[in-house]
This record gives sequence, C-alpha cells and structure tokens, in this order.
Amino acid sequence: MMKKLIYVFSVVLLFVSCTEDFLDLRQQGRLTDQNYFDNDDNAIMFINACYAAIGWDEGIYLGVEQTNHFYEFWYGDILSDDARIGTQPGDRAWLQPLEEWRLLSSDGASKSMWMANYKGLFRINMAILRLPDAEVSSDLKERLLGEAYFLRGYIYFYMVRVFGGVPLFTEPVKPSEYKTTDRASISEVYKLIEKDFKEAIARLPEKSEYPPGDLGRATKGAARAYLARAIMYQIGTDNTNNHSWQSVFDLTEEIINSGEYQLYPNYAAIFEMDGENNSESIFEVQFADNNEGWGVVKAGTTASVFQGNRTMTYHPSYRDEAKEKGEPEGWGFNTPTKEFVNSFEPGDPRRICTAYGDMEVHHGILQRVEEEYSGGTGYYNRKARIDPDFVPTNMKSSPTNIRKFRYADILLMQAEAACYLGNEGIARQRVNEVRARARQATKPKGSIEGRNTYVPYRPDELPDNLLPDITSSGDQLLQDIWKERRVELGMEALRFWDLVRTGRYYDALTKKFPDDPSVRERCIQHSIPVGGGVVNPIPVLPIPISEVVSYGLEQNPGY
Amino acid sequence: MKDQPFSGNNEKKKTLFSMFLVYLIVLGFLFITLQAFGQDRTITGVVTDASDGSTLPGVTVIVKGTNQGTITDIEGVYRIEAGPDATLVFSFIGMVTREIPVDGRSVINVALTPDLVGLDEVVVVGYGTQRKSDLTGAVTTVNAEELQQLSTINVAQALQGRASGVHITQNSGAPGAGMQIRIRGITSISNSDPLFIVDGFPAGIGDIVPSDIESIEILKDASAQAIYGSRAASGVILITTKRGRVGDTRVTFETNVGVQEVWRKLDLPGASDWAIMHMEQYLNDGISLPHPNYMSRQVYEVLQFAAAGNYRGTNWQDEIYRPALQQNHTLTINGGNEKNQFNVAGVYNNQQGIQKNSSLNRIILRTNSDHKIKNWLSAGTNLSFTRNIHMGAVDVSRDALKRNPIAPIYNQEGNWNSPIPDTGPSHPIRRLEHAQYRWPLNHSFSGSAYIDIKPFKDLTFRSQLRYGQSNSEHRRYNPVFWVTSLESNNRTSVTESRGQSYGWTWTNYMTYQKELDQHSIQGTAGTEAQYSYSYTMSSQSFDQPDISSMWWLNAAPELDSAKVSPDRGWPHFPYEETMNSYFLRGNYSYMGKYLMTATVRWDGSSKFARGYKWGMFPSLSLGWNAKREQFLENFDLLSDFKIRGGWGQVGNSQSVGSFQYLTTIVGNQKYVFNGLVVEGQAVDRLGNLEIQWETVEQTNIGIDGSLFRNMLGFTVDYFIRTTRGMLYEMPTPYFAGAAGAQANLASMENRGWDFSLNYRNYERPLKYDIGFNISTYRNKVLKLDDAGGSQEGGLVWHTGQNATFTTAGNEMAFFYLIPVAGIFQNQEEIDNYAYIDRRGNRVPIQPNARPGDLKFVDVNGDGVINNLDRIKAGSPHPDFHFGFNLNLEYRDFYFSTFLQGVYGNDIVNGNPVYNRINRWTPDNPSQTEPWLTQQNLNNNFRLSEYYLEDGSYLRVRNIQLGYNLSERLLAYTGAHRARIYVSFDNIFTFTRYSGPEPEVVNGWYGHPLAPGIDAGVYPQSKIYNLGLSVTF
Repeated sequence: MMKKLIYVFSVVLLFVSCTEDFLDLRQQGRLTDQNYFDNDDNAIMFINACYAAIGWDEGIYLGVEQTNHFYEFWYGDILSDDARIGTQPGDRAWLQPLEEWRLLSSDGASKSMWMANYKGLFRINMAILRLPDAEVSSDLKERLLGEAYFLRGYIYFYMVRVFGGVPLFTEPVKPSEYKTTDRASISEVYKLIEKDFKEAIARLPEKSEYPPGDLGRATKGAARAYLARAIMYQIGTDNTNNHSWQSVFDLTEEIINSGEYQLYPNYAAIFEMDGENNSESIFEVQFADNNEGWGVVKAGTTASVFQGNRTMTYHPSYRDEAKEKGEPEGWGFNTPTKEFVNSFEPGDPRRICTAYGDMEVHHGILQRVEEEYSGGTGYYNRKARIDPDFVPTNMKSSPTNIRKFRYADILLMQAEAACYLGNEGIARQRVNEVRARARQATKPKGSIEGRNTYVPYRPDELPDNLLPDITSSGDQLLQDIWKERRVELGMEALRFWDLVRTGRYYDALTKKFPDDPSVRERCIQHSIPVGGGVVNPIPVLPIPISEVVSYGLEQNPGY
Repeated sequence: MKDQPFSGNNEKKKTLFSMFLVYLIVLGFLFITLQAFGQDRTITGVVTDASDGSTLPGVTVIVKGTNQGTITDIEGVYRIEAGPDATLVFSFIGMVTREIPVDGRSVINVALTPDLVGLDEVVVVGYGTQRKSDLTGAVTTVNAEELQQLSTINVAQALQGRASGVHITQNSGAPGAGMQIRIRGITSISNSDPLFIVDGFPAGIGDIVPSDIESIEILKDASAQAIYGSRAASGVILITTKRGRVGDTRVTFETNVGVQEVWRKLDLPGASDWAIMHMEQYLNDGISLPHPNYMSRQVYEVLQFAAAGNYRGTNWQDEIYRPALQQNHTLTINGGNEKNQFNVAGVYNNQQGIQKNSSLNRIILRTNSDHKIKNWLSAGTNLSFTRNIHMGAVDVSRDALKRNPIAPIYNQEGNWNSPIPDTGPSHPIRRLEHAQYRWPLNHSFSGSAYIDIKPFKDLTFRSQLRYGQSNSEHRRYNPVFWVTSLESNNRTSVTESRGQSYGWTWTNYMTYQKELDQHSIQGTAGTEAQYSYSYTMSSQSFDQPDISSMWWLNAAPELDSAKVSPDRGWPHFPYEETMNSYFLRGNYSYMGKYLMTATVRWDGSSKFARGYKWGMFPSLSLGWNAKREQFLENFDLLSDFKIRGGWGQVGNSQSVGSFQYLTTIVGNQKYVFNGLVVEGQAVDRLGNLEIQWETVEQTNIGIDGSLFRNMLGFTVDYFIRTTRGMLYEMPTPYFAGAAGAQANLASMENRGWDFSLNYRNYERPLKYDIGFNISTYRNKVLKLDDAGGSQEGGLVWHTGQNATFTTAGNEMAFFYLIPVAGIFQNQEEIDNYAYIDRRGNRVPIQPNARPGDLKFVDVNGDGVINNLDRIKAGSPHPDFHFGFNLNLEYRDFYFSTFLQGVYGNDIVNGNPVYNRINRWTPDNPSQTEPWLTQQNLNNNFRLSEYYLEDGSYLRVRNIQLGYNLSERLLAYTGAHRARIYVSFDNIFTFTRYSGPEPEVVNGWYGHPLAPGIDAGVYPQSKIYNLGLSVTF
C-alpha cells in the first residue's frame, strides 16, 4: 500500500516541478517588437513604413475610425487666393467651411491630418528609439536614422504650419503621458524641427550618393532645403528663436554649391511623368500605379483624380466623347482662380503649365471647362493633370509623384534672403535664373490634338520681350521676388504660407471674397495675434475636439 | 448547369464507407458478446410500487455478479433464470434499489419504495460527483430523454429551452450552423461562451450527437464553476456520454428520416405589384416615364407589361428554398459484466439544407470501455473519430427578399440574367449554384484514458489523459461568370486551405471520502496541464479549366501563378497555448442537513506576460436541508426543501487571445522608390504586458424543493454576477499615434432569477409530467473606461450607420435610434413641424419632406434631424426566456411536446427594406410605411425606429407521438424494446417579427456589440420526421 502511495505522489510531484517553462511560450510566425530590428532588411522596411505615412493624404484608419481625405493643397492652395475648392456644389459641402474659415473642431478637414501625422510620428519615434541598439550594419543604421529624423522634422513642420504649437514627442507616447501632455509653443516645435533636420544633414548622403534603386529617399540636400524653409517661415511668423535671413542665405548657398541640383531645362516637363525626380527635384512624395482602389495603405495616390477635369468627366455634353478620347477621369477639386491666372505676365509659358481652361489642348485632347464644374473659376490645375498615357489601372491609384520641393524654390529663397541682406545683385541674379529657364519652356505636353508630345513655341507665338530680366531694387525687388514665387511655384501648395509669412494673407482674403468680409473677420479670430515673438498673425486650424475635451489640450483661438 | 462537381463521386464513397462501418460494428458485436446462459431455474414475480400497489413496468432485474438481466413487462412481471443462491437486484428510476436473495424460491414479488427526489441521485460536478442532496451550487441537470426529443443532431439545439438561465440561440438554420449559448446572460463585452467539458476534458461538442449523451450538467453559479477557474466565467456545461452497463449486451438501432421546409415564406410583392411600385416612385417625384435620365423606354415597356399582370415573374423565395431531406442513423452496442463494460456507437448524419448546396454529412465512431482490473485498480478508455463534410450556408435569404421579381433567373441564352431594372443585390440562384464548388472536409480524432487507484479505503487517485486532433482540408473553385459588371469573375481560381489543430490535457487528482457518524467529509486535490496548438494556411492559384478533376491548386497551367494567399481572414501564425492548474475542493456535511463546499483553483496560462500568468479563483457555498430538521419531518406536504447560497470568483480568459500582450508589427505599408513599390512594416497595435483575465464574481441564493410526495418539484435561484476588468481598448488620444492597447478596464453586472417547476404523475394509466422554466436577468455596464467612454456597434449595412450604443449605466448594446413620430399626412403637418431659431424665425425641421414621408423626432431640439437625435429606443435583451414541456404516456402510446420562446426583446431588421406594399398613399394614410419616392429627399431609410421590431417569439419546438411496441409484438419481432414515432419540429412559431426569422443572433458574425441585429438570417426549418428505435 505504501508503495502505491509513493508512486501516486511521485507522479504528482514530477508533474508539478516543470511548470514555469511550460507556460513560457513565444509567439510563432508573427513579427512583434520583441523579435524585430534584428537585421538590415527589416530595419529598412520599418523606415519604408515611415515614408508611407507622408503619402497618406487619402486619410487613414486609426483603430476603427476612418478619417477624411486631407491633401496639402487644401491648406496650401485652397486657403490662399490662388485656388478655390472647385468641383460642383454637391461634392464639396464638407470642404467649404475650410475655405471660409468656418471649420468646427469636430470637422474632419484638420482632424484627419492631425491623426495621420501623429500615426506617422509614432512609427518614426519607434524607429529612432529602437534603431540605435538594433543589429543593423552601422553605415545603414546612420542613414536610416537620418531618414527618420528628416521625416520627423518634415511632419512636425507640416503640423506647426497648420495648427501652431502641437504636443511634441521624441519617443513613442506612453499611456501615462495621455493626460499630462500639453501643446508645445510654436518656437519649441521649430527648435525640434531644426534639430531633426540638422541630425538628418549630418547622417544623410547627397542625392548622387544613393544607389539608383533608392531614388526618392530623403537626402542631405532635402534636409538642408527644409531647414532653410523652416527658418524662413519662422522669420515671417513666430521668430522667438531669433533667426536672420543670413541662415537662409547660407543654407541655400550650400545647396547651390553642392552641385547636386540644376534647373530642369523645360518648365513644361517638370510635372509630367518624365519630369519625376528630375535634376531640380529636391523632395517628392513618391507614388506608383499598383492597381489599388480606395484604401489608405497603398502605393498610388488619389490626389490626381481629385484634381482632374470634372467637366469632361461629368458634363453630359462632353463626357462620352471625352471617354472615347481617353481623357482621364477627374473630380475637379482645387481650381486656380481667375485672379491668379491673370497674374501671369503676358505670354508667360508657365501660365498654361499651371492652369488650363476651356478650349485648350492638353495631352492631345481638347479640354472643355465649364465654370459650373470648376467651382466657378473656369480653370483646372495643370500640374496635377494625369497624362492619359499613364492613366493608372485604377484611377484612385495614380502613379504621379507630388513635388514638394524644387531647386527653383531654393533660388527664389536665396533671392529673398539676399534682398533682405542688401545683396541685391545676387537677388536679381537668382530670380533671373528662374525667369530665364521659364522663357525656354515648350508648350505643355500634347498641345496639338491627337499628339501627346512637347511642341516648342514658334517665335511669333510669344511676345517680343518675354519675361524680361528683373532690374528693380529695394522694396520693388522684394515685390518682384514674391510675384515670381507666385507664378513659378503656383498650385504647388506653397502660396498660403507665403502669404502668411509675408503678412499679406488678410488682404488676399479680402480680394478673394470681395462680397463676404466675414471670411476675413473669422480668419482674424482664428489667428495667433502679433506680439511676443509673433511678427505676422498666424491663422490656424482647430485641434480635434476630442483631444481638447478628453485630454485637455488647449484649443486654438476662436474654435 | 454544370455537372455536380465534388458531390457525385463522393456520395458513392460515403455510402461504401458507412456500410463498411456498420459491418465492422456488427463484427465487433459478434466477437464481444456471444456468451452462454447458465442452466438455472426460472424465477418469476411481479414488481409493484410500495406506495400505491400499482405494478411497475420497465424495472431492471439483474442477477447480482453476472451480466444476466431483464426488465419487467407492462404488467410488472419479470422472468429470469438464476441459481438458488443467487441474489436479484431490482432497480428503477425514482425508486430505491433492492437486493433480494433467491433462497431457493421460484416466485419473488417485490415492492419498491419511491426514492425522495434526487436524494441519492448523483450529479456530475467538476472532477467528481456529488449526491444531489448535498449540492450547494446552482447546477441544472438535463437528462438523455429530453435531449433526444428533437430530431436535431446538434447538442446545443437539443439543450435549447431545457434549462432555466440557459439561453440558446441558433446562429442560422443551415445544417451544422453554430449556436450561441449564454448562461445567465452575457458575461463580457468580448466573449461570453461557456466552457464545455466532455467526459472530464475541455472539448468541443461538434463530434457528439444527443443520442450519445447520458446527461448534461450546467454549472450556473461561481461556487459550482470555480473548480474550472479561469475559463468558467460564462458557465460550464458538463457532458457525460453513455457508457457500458452490466447486463446483457444490447444492440440499439435508432433511425429517423425527415423532410424539412422553410418555416415560413414572407409575403412579398409579385411582378405586377413590384412593377407598379417601381414606376410609382418616379411618378411620385414628378418624373414622367420613360425618361432619358431615369428610365429607358425599353425598361418602361417591361414594367408596363408586368404591371398589367401579364407576367408572373420569379418568386425568389420559391427559387432559393427547397424541401430537404435529413436522415440520422445510430447503432449502439452496449453491455458488460462486473469487470468489463463497453459501449460502441456509430452515427451517420446526412442533413441537406433548405437552401441548395448547404449540407452536413457526418460519420461518428465512438467507443468506450471500463475495466475493473484489481479491487484497487480500474481503468477505462474513450475513443472517438469524426469525419464530416460541412457545406455551410451561402446565405442568400436577404438577397432574395430584395431581388426584382420581374427578372427571370436565366436570360434567353441560358446565362445568368442581369435584372432590368437592376435593383442591386447579387443573383441569389447564381450564388447558390456556385456554392457547390466547395470541398470542406474535416476529420477529428480524440482518445482518452483514465486509471483509478484506490491505495486504501476512502482514497481514490485518478490520472487521466486526453489527446485530440483535427484536420481540415478545404477547397474552393471560383468559376468564370458574368451577371453584371459588378457581379462577375473573369478568371478562374482555386483556393485551398489546410488546418491542423491538436492538444492534450493531463489531469491527476485524489479524492478522499469519509463518513463518520453524522459527519461526512469529501476532499479533492489535483493538478491539470494542457497544451493546444492550431495552424491554418491557405493558398490560391489561377486559370484552372472548368473540369471538376482539375479543381486543384497544382492543376494551375502555370505553377508560378500559385501564390500564398494574403487572405486576412486567417490567422497566418500558429496558435499555441498552455495551461497549468492546481485545484482543491472540500465538502462537509453534518447529518445531511448542514452542507458546505469550498473550492479554490490556481490557473497559470501562457496567454499572459511573465508576472501576470497566475490567478486564483476561490468559492464558498453553504446549504441547509431544512426538510431534515425535526420540526419539518412530519410536515408531509413538503417532501424536500433545501436553501443554498454561494459566492465565488472565476475568470474569463477566453476573451483574451494568446500573445495579445505583445506589440505586433504589420506589413503591407507600401511606399515607392525609383518608381517601384517597396514593402514597409510598422508597429500597428500596441500591446499591454499587464493584460489579465477578466474576473467574474457571482453570488447566488437558491431554493430546491418538492411537494406532494415529490410530485411537484421546484427550483428558484437569484444571482448577482459582476464582471470586472473586462478587456476594453484603452481610450487613446490621436496624438498617441497608435491604436490603443487592450486593458482590463471595464465592468458590468447581471442580476437575475431562474425558476423551474416540474410536476409529474407516475400513476397509471395516464402518466405525465409537465416542466416549465423561465429566467430573466438585467444587464448593466458599470464602466467602460476611466474617461467615461462609449462605443457604437451593430452596423446596419445598407444605412451605413450603427444601431447600438454601449455606455456605463445602461445595458450593453442597447438600440440607439432616431425616433419616428409617424408619417406626414399633408403639407400642413410638414409646415407646422418647425423650429424657432435664434432670430425667432420658424424653420421647418424637415424642409424636404413631402406628405407620405416619415416624421422624425428632433430630440435635441436643434432644428435638424441627425445622429444627435438618437435615443435608447429598444433592447436586444429579452425580458425573459422560457421553455415548457409536456409528456403524456397512456398504455403503449406516448405524446410529448416542447415549447420555447423569448419575450420582450427587440430586433433591428437590418435587411434592406423589401416590402413596400402597405406604403402610404393619399388613399392609404399609413402611419408606419412611408410613400414611394426615388429621390428620397427626406432620407426615410436612414437608421431610425422604423427598423425596430418586437422580437418576441414562441416556438413549438417539437410535437411527438410515439408507440412502444407491446410485449406481444416484441416477442414476435424478437426485439427487446422498440418504439416508432412521428415528430414535428418548429411546427408553429408565433411572432410579430416581420423578417425571415425571429431567432436572431448577433448580426455581423456574432459581434458582441451587434446583438439583435438581423443582418440576413438563414431561417429555421419545419421538420416532419419519422423515427424508429429498436433494441435487441
């Protein structure tokens, strides 16, 4: 009997003694943060996903919530005097409050941008936290870190322009920080942006130093360019950090001297498919046709179909014929204003490369543009037009890169800096480089029906004194440089912030809405007023209401 | 259409296989059982009921120590061969068993005394058994007879309505569809499924049919559940399968064959009405027909033709439903002697669905044996094998409701017809036809063994081990077809998936039992270890020709077109889980009057991070058998009376997935370099290392009693159950940038009553028993998160809006809808329905409305109708649910019926609006059905109270009329017992719900936040069944 008992208990004991290991399982067949960052390949993929975040202007999924679209042109162009929402009244109901400064803090137009960018920042901060200790070869690790710093600077720079000061994180946010976080000041955000771009400059290779397969990654030149832009914006908005135009001049000089960039000879080709990543391209958000429909995680963009020719797509008189001719589908958002179109000098070839109107021929197809289908302007954005030869398999997945920073901008920035610094010779030289290139432009691609090629202008088609060199000085020179920025960089989502940083935005609103002074009034209510370090009033959009109500962030003025 | 793909050939194989099976079983039977009878004397006698002297038929008489036995006939007479020194054992349910030595007599008459109800009835509890009279927890027993009344082969369906506090709903009427089981309501916002324990091991019930089952015990309160620790929170259902008995070997053959048809078809508009209404919606909008933008002349002419009544059109309900056959056959061989007993069963089920290409084909083989090896050692085994081909529903019920009845099924060329005018839903018959291209084969096997050692008196040690494995092999072909541009496929493909899961459980426990004078002590201590694993992979390849023998992955013309499918529906990663447990239980009883049970279980689980793996689950319960007190002893009216109360804590680890605590990385975050797409991977979901199981605390007070010599029995229970630390996504600011981690944040409470009442009369000639049970509970969410969060759920697809809302202080997932205040009868009512704005202007609230449009209530008074006007409009939770059964037995005939229902719940009819025949017109001033309008400027079909309906129903689940063959006929056939019966399932249903089926489980794949949303249900069937059961 005793033996039996001993047998029984020994079985039990044997069994009891092996438990802790038994309960310690490891997840199989699935990547987790515990088995990640262990080789070069997945470190690269982790950074790729950070880039993906800056292409999310279709809106994102966060948890279960899908957000609205948000394209940079909504803020950069539509808020400015260069463009209207466009399209037909029924299709723009939720954008109208944005253009007229009537946005509510619960509206999606600023919320989705906030959400998407913070999701990107979470990824980037995760990378910056984990990469230093990752088992990744050291050269690659430095470059990837440089890319991460660049992207963090890029996103915070976007956010500070739209919202002013925002919560600032340099590491993934911890639950304990949810309720203790406040918005940083504008200058604090800019400090981090500058620091990030400097970290990126120190680590990133020049454009030419990348292998060809990496075309499109952040470069030393891009980081310098964005640093210069961030400083230039501070000078005209909140200059608590006390920057001078000399830094802008020096940074642009470094870029010019690097020899990495040249103006692309034909202005008309810059925004075509063959102009992607060209010699003057400093930074572009990269897209490719990947046959995808709606959905935010994809390789193509919906930005092109959003801005295409709506008249040709929907007008009963034109749509059938247009389809036959291969005119790409378009929904007609972001349409250039008449006032902007008329601001080009007579014969400036850039006009027709920036805005196209009724009875013009583009990509070999005669274009019909009705005011009713273009938000009353009669023009569409030529720079966002899809070439019918490159129409994607699915219109919602356009392969067109979005040009974010061109060398022409660097030249004009240096011109402006030189002008402020009293070096008018350099200022005039830089502007005139840009104008000289514009003079050589061909007609836009496909200017003859049925032929999708570049056709040069016949001499008799151009005025005698086309785009003469600038010779002015003093304040007139500054005005000329600003005007040059408007026409050279038109419809590239830069105008609004140019107006804000030069203190001209309220007047532009008055001109844009001559019959409705309330727009200007509301915008003033939603601006950070001059005072302290603020040199020009800074209009800002609302912080999402849930962040204010549930997490105690301070709301922007007037919302 | 095409030839039947997979089924034809396999039908033959299946038949062969089942014949082989029967052959094997018969062979086994021959080997095992042929035994000689002794040369003994015949003993005969009459068995009577001592209480009233009536004779007792069906009493088992066994010669003690042998496998010889018989039962008494209807006159209570028995006849048996036995030696002069033998002892006869007389036993009968409800009576005290008697042993009587023969002592050389040849006539022995016996009177049996009735047993106090359940006094010595033994109830299975976790890791052991207990006398029912000693029980202190809330446990309901359902016996084999009740389970076998319906013709269903689904155990859960057989349980439906049988036990108070157990609410079972069928997901769908399709063969083999799952059931939702809720014991005392929902436990958690995530998972409320009970734990099934089959013969002592956690297991699924897919491989068991009701006829295999001896009894089911449902553990409803924490004091009974706590011995199952971290998995017991939503209740435990203990299933005991039939085992061998001492006595002659018996072969029982049970068979039933039935026809099913849909329980009702809805009254939908025919072609003529439909055409009239289709045109009317344009005419109401002031559009003259035909119209270049709205309706072509061709369509207009079709409608005119149909409207004139020239054309019968297609009745889509008639097309999708069919009468369907079902047949179930079971052969059981059962027997044994004092030392060895065995039970072998073979089951064949073939159930066709009332929609084409849905079916369940199943073969089950089960065997178990028990062996007494030494007086201190016994052992036994269970083996089971199942093969099934389960063609689940491709549910087209919802599409058939909305399909244009003018459109024929096929066009003149014999291809799928695209309807004119096209009204949306995909082609129901096309989808049903294509459902045949599936080959869903599943095999599962499980085996277990136990060994019992009794090292000395009072102590038993048991070690038991189970291993189970299942494999699935699913194949699906997608043919080329074209109905419309949106409903077409231009490239064939084959998708194959293979799944495998296996696991083992090893349990060791000791039971010590001691009776000392008036004290009775029982103690149990044990350990348990478990491992489980599963993995499924799936692959797809393209361009297989439309030849059934080529519908294989490898038959793709180019092998590089095969690729691993990125099907997100599957978990791509293996699932693994281990668990290790210790448990203790002590029972103490003083004079059988004062009872106490205490248990504690410690569970360790691999699901949680280090430091959070272990949890402890205690319980304590007390009972008082008041009837045994002296002051009640002579109170004859009361036969039994017990008060019991218990408290305990259990865990709900089923709501937590393995490794849910980890932060995971997802791929497919694409970007582009140099014009080429590159892969990106990112952190998507934040883990939370501190995740633990949800804790459920329950207090239960109950009374068991019986009156009138145990003829009337009743049980009442009241419970309070609180779930704490429910997993809920931590509310996260957007600036955190990642979806919130799950954390143990939320809590909810259920309070409720369970009642059951039973009256039985065993006196001849009319024996009967009546049973009734009813239960009710109130659910309340106490907290979701610290931020006072709320959650919407229950998307009604065609409105794009959510129907339920969950927030603290309310029941979970109540219906949250815009109220409707009738229909505008005239323009004046529309004008008068106005709001005074800040400037004092009268602004119409529904400016776009026209007479005939729905009038919505502007709840918040802001002058517009929108989502801010939603209110708590209804509840998916029934006020109570109930079951009623009646059994009558008169001589050789018996009749039984069983009713089940729910009362007081609402349903959101999420089917697209399908029947507008009672629409508002100037001549029909309806207050509920709006007019017809194509433009629908008032947005009548936004999600509102319009969709809300009363979901109460009462179903006559079963009516059965049977005949037990009389002794004479039995003698003639050579059978030992036989009965034949007709049975009708779901023969009547009473409900006001207008949808296809009032039995609605959570819409959208059982999502907990979508209860009571009818997202299109495969309706239940009426079944006309003919059955036979013979025992030799």
